[in-house]
Amino acid sequence: MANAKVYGVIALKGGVGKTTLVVNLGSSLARDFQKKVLLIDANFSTPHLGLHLGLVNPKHNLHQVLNNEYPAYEAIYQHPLGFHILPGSLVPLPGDPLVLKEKIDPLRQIYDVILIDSSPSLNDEMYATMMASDELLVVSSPDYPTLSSTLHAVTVARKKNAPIRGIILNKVRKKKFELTAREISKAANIEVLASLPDDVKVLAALAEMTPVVEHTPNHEVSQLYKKLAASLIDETYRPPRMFKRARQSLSKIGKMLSKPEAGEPHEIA
Amino acid sequence: MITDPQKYFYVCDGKVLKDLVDMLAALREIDDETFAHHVNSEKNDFYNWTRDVLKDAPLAKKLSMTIDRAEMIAAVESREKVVSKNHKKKAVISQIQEAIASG
Ligand SMILES: Nc1ncnc2c1ncn2[C@@H]1O[C@H](COP(=O)(O)OP(=O)(O)OP(=O)(O)O)[C@@H](O)[C@H]1O
Ligand SMILES: [Mg+2]
Repeated sequence: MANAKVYGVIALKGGVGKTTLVVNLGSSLARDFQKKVLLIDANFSTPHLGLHLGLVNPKHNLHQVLNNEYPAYEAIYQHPLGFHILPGSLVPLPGDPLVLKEKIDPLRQIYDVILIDSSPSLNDEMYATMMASDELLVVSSPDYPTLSSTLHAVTVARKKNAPIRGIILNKVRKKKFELTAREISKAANIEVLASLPDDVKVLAALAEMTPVVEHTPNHEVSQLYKKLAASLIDETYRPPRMFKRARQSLSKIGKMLSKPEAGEPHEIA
Repeated sequence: MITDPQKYFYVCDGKVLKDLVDMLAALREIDDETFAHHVNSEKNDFYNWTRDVLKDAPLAKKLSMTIDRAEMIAAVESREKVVSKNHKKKAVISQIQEAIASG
């Protein structure tokens, strides 16, 4: 029986790339490493995970789960790429974020990896992710305002005794004026696990509501997401030889996932 | 900035150099005779001081390749810009760190 490791993806700043990280790690873990993966949208005020994945306005959602309308497994959707999603309501509903942990803990039995996308606001939404996670990934970018937010997030996590796995440096333009991974790592006293380039392919993929690791798998940014995904499960990513990789049938992968208890996950319309 | 007077660069015209900024000013200002006293086919005191006292390897490497005054000035100038930017960065980062730690 699976016993999921739960990663919370945090940043005290909007737009740094938390949701993008969640969808790409999730997709790679499911597709490249055959892991049973669940993505949870715990950004309760601006829940946009679904919009990155073609799930626009989910009828069943985490907000309703928080409000005890039904258990978490009834709000789970199956993505064609093989992972599962527990989305938020596109129009946010009221609810107590702090019950997140008790609502999702039972799902650990079903998955290998659970990734929680979180809110950039310093309030119960973020604390909920910190408390529900085994380890945190802090998303940052190489400028002073984001560094400041990162150091703040790290300080809060430490106060809450939430272990931090590392920093993901995103939207790197490889310019001399940027802060370096070394400077950021030193300032936060935390390892930088990956430096991901600022790449317009990520935006192109978002427009297709597809993870860039699927949209443009051989691009540098995709390869880096895949390497990071591998390192989270202590595996090594080996890039496939061009054209050699047989396209795995999506439905086949979908079937490899065991179903949440009490019925099928919802299909994405 | 070098703080040990024994490690200062004493220019033969009386100037005393403690850092890159001082060295850049000296290279621009000293007369040819003074320059030739410190930089000639036998030695380059600015190079030695950069390598042994400032321990600035990237600049030392550049200075090891020339005894031409204009080239030396250009090398020190561009290195000084980088160093002062890095200093400024460090200062900003520690200000942010202090603010968050005390907040
Ligand atoms: N490496 C990248 N290169 C280029 N664009 C990127 C990259 N990462 C993310 N983006 C883009 O930046 C925007 C914000 O990304 P995303 O929604 O993942 O941020 P977020 O941290 O989840 O924001 P919020 O705090 O609002 O939830 C999106 O348009 C996304 O496509
Ligand atoms: Mg987001």
